[in-house]
Amino acid sequence: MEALKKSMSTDERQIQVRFVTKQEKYALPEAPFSIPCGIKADLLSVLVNNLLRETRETGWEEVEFDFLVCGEFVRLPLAEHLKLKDINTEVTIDIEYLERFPAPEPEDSLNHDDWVSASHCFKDWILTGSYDNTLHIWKTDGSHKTTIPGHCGPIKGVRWIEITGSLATFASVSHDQTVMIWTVDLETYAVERVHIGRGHERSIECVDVDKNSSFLATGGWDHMLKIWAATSDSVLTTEIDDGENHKLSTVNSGKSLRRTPLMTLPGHKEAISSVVWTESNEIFSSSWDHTIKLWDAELGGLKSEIVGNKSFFCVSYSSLNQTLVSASADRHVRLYDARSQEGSVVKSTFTSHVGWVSTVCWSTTHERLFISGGHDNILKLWDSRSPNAPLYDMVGHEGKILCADWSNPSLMVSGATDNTLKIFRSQA
Amino acid sequence: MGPMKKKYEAGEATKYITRAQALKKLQLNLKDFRRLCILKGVYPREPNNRKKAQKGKLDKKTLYYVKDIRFLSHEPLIWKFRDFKVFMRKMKTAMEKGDKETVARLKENKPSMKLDHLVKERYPTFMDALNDLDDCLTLCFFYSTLPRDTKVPANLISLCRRLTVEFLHYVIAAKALRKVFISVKGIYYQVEIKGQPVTMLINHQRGFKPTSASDVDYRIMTNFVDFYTSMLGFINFRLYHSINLQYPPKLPGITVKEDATDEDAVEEYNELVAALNSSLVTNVPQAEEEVQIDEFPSAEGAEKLEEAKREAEAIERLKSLFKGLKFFISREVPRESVVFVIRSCDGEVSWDPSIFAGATYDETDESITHQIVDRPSVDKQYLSRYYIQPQWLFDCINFRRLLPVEDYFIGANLPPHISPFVTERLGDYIPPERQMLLALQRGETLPAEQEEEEEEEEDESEDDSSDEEEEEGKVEKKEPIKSQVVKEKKGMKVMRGRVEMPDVKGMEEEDKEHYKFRELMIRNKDKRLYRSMMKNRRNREREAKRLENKRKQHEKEEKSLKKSTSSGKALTAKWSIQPLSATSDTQTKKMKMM
Repeated sequence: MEALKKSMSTDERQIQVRFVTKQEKYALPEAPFSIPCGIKADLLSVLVNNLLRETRETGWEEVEFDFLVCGEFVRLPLAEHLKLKDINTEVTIDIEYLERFPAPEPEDSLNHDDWVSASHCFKDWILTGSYDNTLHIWKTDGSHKTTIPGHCGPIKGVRWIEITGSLATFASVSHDQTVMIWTVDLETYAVERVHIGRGHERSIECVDVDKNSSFLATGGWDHMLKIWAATSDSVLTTEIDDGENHKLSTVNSGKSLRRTPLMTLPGHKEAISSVVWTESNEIFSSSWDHTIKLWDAELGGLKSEIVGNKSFFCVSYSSLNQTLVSASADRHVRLYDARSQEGSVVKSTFTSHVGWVSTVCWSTTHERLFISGGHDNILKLWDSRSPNAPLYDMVGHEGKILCADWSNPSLMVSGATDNTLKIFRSQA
Repeated sequence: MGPMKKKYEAGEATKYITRAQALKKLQLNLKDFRRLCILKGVYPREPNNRKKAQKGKLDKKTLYYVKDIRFLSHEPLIWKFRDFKVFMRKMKTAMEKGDKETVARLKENKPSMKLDHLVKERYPTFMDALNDLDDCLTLCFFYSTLPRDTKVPANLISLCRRLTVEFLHYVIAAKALRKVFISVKGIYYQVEIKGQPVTMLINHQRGFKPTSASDVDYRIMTNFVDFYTSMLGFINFRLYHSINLQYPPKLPGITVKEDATDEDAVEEYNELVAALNSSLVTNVPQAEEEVQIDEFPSAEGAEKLEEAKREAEAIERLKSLFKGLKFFISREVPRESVVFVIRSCDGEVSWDPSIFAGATYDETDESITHQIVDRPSVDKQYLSRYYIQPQWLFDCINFRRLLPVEDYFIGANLPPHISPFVTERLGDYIPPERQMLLALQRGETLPAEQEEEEEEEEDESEDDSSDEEEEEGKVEKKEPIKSQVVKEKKGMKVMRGRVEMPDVKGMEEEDKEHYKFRELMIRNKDKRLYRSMMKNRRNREREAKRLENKRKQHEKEEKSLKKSTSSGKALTAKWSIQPLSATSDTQTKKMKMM
């Protein structure tokens, strides 16, 4: 407060601002204020708090605010921020303020026997895959439910397919070139391997399920993107005609049904590092050949392509705002709008990691938040309106982060080479 | 097998011809050949391969293009040379015989040459002639100042004088003067004609004859001057008509018949013209038009447009720099250059009537504002005028503004006369006076005023910022502990995201490494050139530093001397532009002009 008063009394240049907000409970009268131009965001927060305290008679608790100018968070002193954005300082500037997103709380750390390379959450359960060829199912309170061996190589991707009642289906891909579809009884934790999908000629890197839970897309080191049927319905399996003998089996037969891909989409020149389905039957695939390709799954063809400078390690698509974030070897996280043809495809670049960014994941409830994990052992929470600084850094891993997930809106999980899966609870 | 190809039958061998062969072909003697080459603009050429060009021989002969010599052979002037040779032979025999009638008759019918067709042939357009005007003017000015007893025909000297005076009148009327520089050789003027800069050198008038006059071969130069006088005549005519002046120049109010028998009157009239002090009669009464600079919307060249506008405005100011000022020139000051310079910038000037004709007012005139003096002291000083040294005029023109007169008072140690013709290269030493000139040309505000303002601001802000720093220091100590870690549990921490500060030093080092790598990649062919280029650059920088240190040393000494002297005045004029203290209306007007 003292610093604020002091800075306001100096001969520093003053800027006219107006405080606007979309959150009704923090509304202020829209009168312009004159504030020194070198002010920082924390002092602005103090100012707004004092203003609100004056307008409310009842007791007022200090709330931390974040400030946006022209759709971007203010992280530098205001004058520098305006200069960077080339905003005219003579005009009255509208500063939007909103309550700061609360910091996630560190919750738990789940120990594994080897590197945790894949993770996926669904409701109360967490599914992890590790380099010791085993899958694990945990409950969100940190209790380990079951270990599932079965693969012959490190597991690189896991996905819950669907949960109906107490029966759940999930898929896992591994270096042993197979896709395995499993079912598990969520009360007894009895696991059955339902299908083994063979078709990739080299290790498989990634897997994703489509919105209707009927198809799987996998990508691997053989540069191919393959689409598989995800249902374990016996009806579906008869539709496959590839000349091989299928043995129809029911869920409880104990024999694994061999499955072959429905479609193979060549096109990438290097390993495919991650795939993600969109809501309209399209697939984004990122690869080490510096491109992200958009495929049409129905027709089986390439729709468009985004080219970069370095290999991409992960992409994540948000159905809330139809944008894509990518994790790349050049330590930047980029936001793309794949539909737009005009201008640059990259909408923003988020720079804070100090090494390769290995994984990104959009929030399923917030249209602006996503997390990214990198080889600098830090999991960062970003708001898409603040490209030069993340909202929060979640420190704790002692090894490179290999996977991160935020499918459960309240849990951010990340698996790393220190054999642990760390869980952070997000407050909002 | 077909006919064998012999050496030196094709290519360079057939392109060149030696001087002796050329003389033989044209049937001229060396003197006439030289004259012809000068008049036609033909020069000897350097072949790429001397052995081939000279058909195997390796002696150093002067070579001309065969085509050039063929071109010369069609020149009708050759017949004039031969006529002249014949005339000389006849004259010689007649004079030896003592045959006065024949001599008189021959003299009457002396063959004469006109060089007009050469001018038209060599300069098909006016701009071509303007390109060559530098040398022409310099030689003509030189010849106009030659004493009569040199081996140069007297009428040529007076012709040169007339032509140069006409040219100076044009410059005054068109207000074309742009740059002046006084040097040892003479005074350099740069004049702008139709957008083309023309630089001429007018040598100093010396009372004594230049030594070793016998070494100079005036014959060759006279050949050049013959051609240049015709050329300058044409150019003057064209220039005069382009600004609607009558050519030959007429002074208003005075009529002299062209074929006047009274030689003194003609001489007097010529003197008046040469005085450069009155405006000439125009053909068409000129209406003053305010020409507005066209605005061409251009996407890229916005800066260039600004610069060009500024330049045009500066030149407009220069044209009427001395407007309203009345000058008087003392007897010891070289009159012509000062008069020319003052009149080119719209000033009024006069001098003592006993030294030259054409004085309009004398020393006792009350409305004189400046008197140009070049002696250590003046007995009687009028209060209403400034007594200044002539360098003030030249410096004002180069700076394109009226400089403070105090630095140029009688007996003052003058500031250095900076040459406007120098373009500094990268790394050269730029003296502070020149820096000031460049800054003014770029349109920056007067530095002295700005410095004062800045100093005041700095003082104020310094007091405040020191207080603020103490406060902030206290606040900041709490902040890192508070804001960094928000949550912590089980060895996992959640921290606020921070903005990454760009690593300036690291980037710089990386850039340096990249540069060194690129240096390694230069091809071997270019490496030598690159190394010598960088070496020269470093030498120049070292030289510039040395000069800067020398200057700093000098200024320190001056300061200490200034402190020790009782009067408190600096011995050297400190280069600062300070507004004059207003004492009269005219002076306030001058201040506004500045």
